[in-house]
Amino acid sequence: MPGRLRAIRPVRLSVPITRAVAWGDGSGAGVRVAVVDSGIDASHPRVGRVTGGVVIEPDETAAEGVRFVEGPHADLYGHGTACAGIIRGLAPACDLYSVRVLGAALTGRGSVLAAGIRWAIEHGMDVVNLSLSSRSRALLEVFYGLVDEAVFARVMLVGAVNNVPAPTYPSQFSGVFSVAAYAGRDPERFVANPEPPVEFGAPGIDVDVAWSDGGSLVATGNSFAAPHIAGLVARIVGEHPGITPAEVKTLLRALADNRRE
Amino acid sequence: MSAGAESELLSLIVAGTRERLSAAACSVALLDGEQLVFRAAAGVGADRVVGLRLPVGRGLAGFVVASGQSIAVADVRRDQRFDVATAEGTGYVPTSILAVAVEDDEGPIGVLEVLDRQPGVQDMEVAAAAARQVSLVVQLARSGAEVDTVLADDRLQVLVGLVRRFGDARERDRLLAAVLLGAVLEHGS
Repeated sequence: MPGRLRAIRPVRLSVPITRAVAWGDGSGAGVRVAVVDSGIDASHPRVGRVTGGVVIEPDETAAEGVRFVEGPHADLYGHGTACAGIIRGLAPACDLYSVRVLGAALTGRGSVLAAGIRWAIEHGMDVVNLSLSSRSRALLEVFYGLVDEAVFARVMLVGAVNNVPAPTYPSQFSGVFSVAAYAGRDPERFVANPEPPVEFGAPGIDVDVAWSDGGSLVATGNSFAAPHIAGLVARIVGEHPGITPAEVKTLLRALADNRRE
Repeated sequence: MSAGAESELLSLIVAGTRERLSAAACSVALLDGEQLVFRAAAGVGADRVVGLRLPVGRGLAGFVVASGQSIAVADVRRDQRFDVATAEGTGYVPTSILAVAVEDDEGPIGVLEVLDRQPGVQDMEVAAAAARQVSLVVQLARSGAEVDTVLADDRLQVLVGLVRRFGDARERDRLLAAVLLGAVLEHGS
């Protein structure tokens, strides 16, 4: 701790906390949102625009076992486009970045995911959508360190939890916004779970999502719940630049559908 | 566990899951290198599915294995990349697919798929529980195979013979053997 503390700027709270207080016009303007996934189809009408991105692949000859190829790239499955479309729908003026970590190569996928999160932190992303996770216990410490780093850098990591009743990383950690599918339809509505590690529930059942080749699908999964929260978090960060993850969680809890006044 | 017992257990799991979810079919495919190999199936097209190999870089199953995320799609034919030819090869083209990753402690080892189920709120949890059972069966079978390999090692048989002879030896010989073993261990460390 420094001898002389600088003043902090806590989020301005009013009673009651309204959606207008939390996210203003809800545009998410100026907020950088990374979708760590299978890529984003930048030409999809529901995505609109992709500001930048990187492909991360395993590479035994590279320094940390992965190589980075920055620039435009395709979505290999459609899943990243689905997540990006949901985020764009909620935060229309945000800047989307595609961090492609899912590819045909399965070896080293945990390391590639970790490298994706690191890239997002180092490149000044404000919000990171992680509709994927790793079960690698060998990487537990790596993910733990990355989550702490993200929280201290005010990077909001939003992670979809796995359906399987076993720990998955990094969604298991308290520094992450852990999200599961909830039977709601309104993309702006969500619930706060009083029994973590899942902290929030958002629409993820039979959601009409963007998919590959300009198409769309009706899909179900925690994968589609996480970007709903990521989109709302982008709105909040847009309205309150410099806000911390803990403060964003406070606002979300105050706006959850299952709150008791 | 024998390979036959493993296959039988996997068949029972997919048959039970199909029935529980009132689905047209249910299958399990496991990773073999960069391919998914269908190991068990129940319902329509089951006899044509088992043994089928697919590259892992394709389709919903490929995504589930790559990401570890479960997903259900209401009408897969809206996905322009849906592999209709492969589905037709099994004699059944589904409308809906639910796919859950089969994982061990290090990550995905395969995928469990449910075709054209009667949708319900607990579908994902039911399929995830079945995938967990598949994972345990596969891990048991693999550890059993490892034990068989170790037991078949000639050096282990020599060791077993020595232990037997040690048990049959007279008290004085056992003491001598113990002293020699102690000396070897001390030298080794």
